[in-house]
Amino acid sequence: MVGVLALLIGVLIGLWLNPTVPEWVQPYLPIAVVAALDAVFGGIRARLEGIFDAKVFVVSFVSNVLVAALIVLLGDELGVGAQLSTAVVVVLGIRIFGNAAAIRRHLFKA
Amino acid sequence: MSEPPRLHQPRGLLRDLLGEHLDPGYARAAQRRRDHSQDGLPGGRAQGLWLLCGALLVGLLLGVAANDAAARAPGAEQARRGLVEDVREARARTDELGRRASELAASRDAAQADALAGDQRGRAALDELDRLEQHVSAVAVAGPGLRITIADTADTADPASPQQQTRVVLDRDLQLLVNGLWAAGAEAVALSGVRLHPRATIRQAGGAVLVDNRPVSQPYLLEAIGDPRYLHVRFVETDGYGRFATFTQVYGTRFDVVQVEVLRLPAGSPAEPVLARR
Repeated sequence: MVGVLALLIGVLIGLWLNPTVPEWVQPYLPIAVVAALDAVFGGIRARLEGIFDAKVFVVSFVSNVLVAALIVLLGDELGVGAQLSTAVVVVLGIRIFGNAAAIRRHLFKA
Repeated sequence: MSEPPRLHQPRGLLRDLLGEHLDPGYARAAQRRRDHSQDGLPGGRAQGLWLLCGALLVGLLLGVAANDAAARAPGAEQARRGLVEDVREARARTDELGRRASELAASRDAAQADALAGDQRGRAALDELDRLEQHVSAVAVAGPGLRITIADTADTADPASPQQQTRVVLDRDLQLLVNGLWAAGAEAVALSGVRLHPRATIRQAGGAVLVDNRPVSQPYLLEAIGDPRYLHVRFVETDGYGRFATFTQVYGTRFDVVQVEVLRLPAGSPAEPVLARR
């Protein structure tokens, strides 16, 4: 509950503050969002399976975002940024789907 | 329920990717917790704090990203919509101005006729003017002639996908065809509803063909006024006809020539003289 509330408050603060995103961050924002979604779905699934650990959640989220951003940054420097972005999105996307399916199985038993 | 982790099995990267979606850290942390304290449930002040910070961070990121996306995407979309709107407005204005021009031309013609119809010389001047206007395609005309339909493919049942193949009919082919019609004795020619005056151009601009700077699309409809049978016979002998006959055989290009009893061609917009002055 605390987590959901904090999430909502975070979203509201983000929407309300409306900070101008620096130009150099913008390419990494979508990747960061996908990484964040991965962490959120993973957290929900762990919660449903009764093995949730807040520290793991935070550390996995932060490291996911950083690693994803780093990969894309490296790709941009090497000139294969788009391909590496795709790779990151595909890997995280598969994980999100898998976790969402597991959550669905937990919630609906189907 | 999820399967227990199969740690004993050799795992490939792909199997990992497809089978293991949950961060293994959760299982390990749970294991650690079970080892240290018998309390299997997550709890405690530190847990709450971590969760609060993490969830706040994730929420912040999502909110900022949503704002950013909302600020950026509509920008591009708005620009596109604005441009489309501009184009539509400009087209409407062109149409309106064209209508007004023809209205004014009609009233000018009436005034001209009033002024000149009185005496012999005036009538001669009017006749001369009529003849000249017909020659520069400034007036709408009607009469018998040929109607030629041209399209890249012979089957017109599928007009929805004109882009799927390479274009066969290019501007220079249409130019040749039109020149052939003039040579065959056509008195007035229109291409897809755009009347061709002596200085009209037919140009390719990307995938579109511009006739007198107005875009036309396939199938092209070429209408020429003249004695149909005479025109047809002479037209068959021209280079353009020969080229399109070849196109039909080789590429399956549609090229239909029919004789029509009554064709109505709109007035063209002949270019203003640049050097000639009264």
